[in-house]
Amino acid sequence: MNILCGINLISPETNLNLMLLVGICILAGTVGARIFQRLKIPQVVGYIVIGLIIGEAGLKVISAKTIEVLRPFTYFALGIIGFIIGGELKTDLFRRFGKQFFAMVIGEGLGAFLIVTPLTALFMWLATHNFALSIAISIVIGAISSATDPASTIQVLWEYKTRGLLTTAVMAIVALDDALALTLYAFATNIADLFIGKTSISISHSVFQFSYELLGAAALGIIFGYILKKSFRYLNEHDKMLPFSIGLILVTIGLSSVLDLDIILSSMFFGITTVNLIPKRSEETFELVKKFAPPIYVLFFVFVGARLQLSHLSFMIIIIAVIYLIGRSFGKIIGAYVGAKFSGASDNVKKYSGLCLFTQGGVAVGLSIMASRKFSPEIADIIITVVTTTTLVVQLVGPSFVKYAVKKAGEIGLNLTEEELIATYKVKDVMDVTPPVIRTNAVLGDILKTFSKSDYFAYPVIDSENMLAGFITFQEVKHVLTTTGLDALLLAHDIMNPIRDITTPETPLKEALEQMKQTNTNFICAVENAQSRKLAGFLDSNKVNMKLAEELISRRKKAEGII
Amino acid sequence: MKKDISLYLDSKNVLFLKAATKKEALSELIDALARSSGIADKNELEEGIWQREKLMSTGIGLGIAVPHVRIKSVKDPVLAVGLSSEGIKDYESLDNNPVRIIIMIAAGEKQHAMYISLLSAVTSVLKEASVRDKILASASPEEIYSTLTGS
Repeated sequence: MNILCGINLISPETNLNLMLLVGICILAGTVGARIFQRLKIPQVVGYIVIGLIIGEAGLKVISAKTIEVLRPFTYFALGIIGFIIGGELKTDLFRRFGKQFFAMVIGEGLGAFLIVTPLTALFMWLATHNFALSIAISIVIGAISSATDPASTIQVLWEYKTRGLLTTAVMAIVALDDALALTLYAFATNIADLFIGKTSISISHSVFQFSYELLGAAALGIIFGYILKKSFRYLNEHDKMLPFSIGLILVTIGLSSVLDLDIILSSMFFGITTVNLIPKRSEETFELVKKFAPPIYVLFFVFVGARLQLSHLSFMIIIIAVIYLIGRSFGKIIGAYVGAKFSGASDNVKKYSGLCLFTQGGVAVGLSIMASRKFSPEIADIIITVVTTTTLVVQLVGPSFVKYAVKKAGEIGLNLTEEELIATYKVKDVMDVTPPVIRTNAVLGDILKTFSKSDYFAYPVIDSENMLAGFITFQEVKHVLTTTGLDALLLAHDIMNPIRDITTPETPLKEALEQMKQTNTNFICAVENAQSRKLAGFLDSNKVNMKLAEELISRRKKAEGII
Repeated sequence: MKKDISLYLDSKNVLFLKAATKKEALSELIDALARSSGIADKNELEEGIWQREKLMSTGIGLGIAVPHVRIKSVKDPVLAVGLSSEGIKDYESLDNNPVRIIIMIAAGEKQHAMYISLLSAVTSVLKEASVRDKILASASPEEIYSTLTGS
């Protein structure tokens, strides 16, 4: 008997093996991301579009029920994202920018709320002439509009390796505005209850409810941060550190779920506690978790797309969705601007933060589902469909705005490692295009002169037609210097080495460096193209390393100059 | 010095040249080397020698020329010696005098150090006037061989 028969491995709708489905989602998502990357659109949009295609709104390969079964993966992704965002939030950042972050979260959240609510209310009142219903629906929708999706925003920041004031501010804002959204939602549902005359749970009870959610999440995260710190001394190997950290994240997620706490917030507090208790030692942990996470993110975003249903769209809902989108976008932009101005933030943060805050995801959808349980089916339907539809739109459009904003602020590519920087270069970007060369008919005296003028270890030798003929290193010259009587007899041609390896200016730098490593040399000559032997440049590993180091330092300085 | 030469010079590769021109003289020596065991590709040797001569003549004065080349098809360095009784007038020597003693050296592409020391050995030996005179006065290739190798 199959020992797994008790476990639901079969999708209820499609009968597809769930693991197969997960695999297909991850593979298809990755392909989608690659296509969108080619189109210079953030990869996260590719994941979501693939989800749309195979999900409820498209081919229905994956159904809402299946997604429900796979919900743990979504929680897992949220937990990891929360943990990693937490890892970016060191206390000295809050000491320096705490006021700014706070002002901007309040600004962008309230901005969206205060614009979406009255506009929606006005439209609904004109459409239904039901004042109470209009207020009730619009205030809940307004509150939900304040939430931002950290996941896709942060994905874009990671994809483009951004670093700087705007990046820091946006990371903090998207992480923290869940808390504001929960607060506004608690407030809004109470007001809504008052208007539609439902026997309300008292305000004090709901204040207690969201305080519990926030403080509980914080407490849980802090406890696990301490546990990780205490366990650290036993975790000096990667193969122990990664599973243990992931295990702790999973337990945090599980407990948050059991205790009805916000998953992102509790795992974010876990991350914050870890990074502040053991800032140096935890660097590696965060790196490991980051490297482990991509398949889970891909799945998460594919599910975001797959879950979206567009069948309930009515004219009124479309209008509300449009009002919501426009009002929310302006609310975020204006609110973030006012918050940034009020707290004395830099120009880039003032101008571009709002554009990074359009995405909405799990929290908004979650709140809309919670709201649907609270209200009658007619209200519930409007709220859920508006939030779902607008989520689709902002998830497809939002990432590109994030990219636009960080590009404008000049923060793209400032957070590269050396390896990533190398991957962005071709040989022509770092080669010496006018290297000192030795002619084939140069006599010893000329060769020595060339050596003395420059600090290369090797020099290309070219013939009368500027074609690459060989190279001379100090080694060959040394041999000649220890012999006598050869001055009249020896030319560069006689002592040069034949060319074994060449590269071209268009070759990726990584490939050329790999080639040098394999042949155990620290230089390589670049010829115009594979067919030609015309010298185009010279690549010396020392010079390349110096250039890379300079570039990394200058990028870091650029980022820190604005941090 | 002479010991270095003795290691790489085969007595069969010492000849009295019939040639009157540089081209003929070098051809005779190339043929001799091609016959000897170390060279697999005569064309490569010929091209290499002439490519080098085009850059600058290897006639270094005092009636001496040392055409030399490093090529892939040579395993171990090889030498060939030619003596011209008339002198090769078109060799383009540094002192513009006809060339009478030609020592051709071919070495493998990677035998840089050996090649340089062999070149150095040959030029040092030939710089001694007594050696040059003895060679020029030789009646047989064997005599030249023993003068150069000290055997």
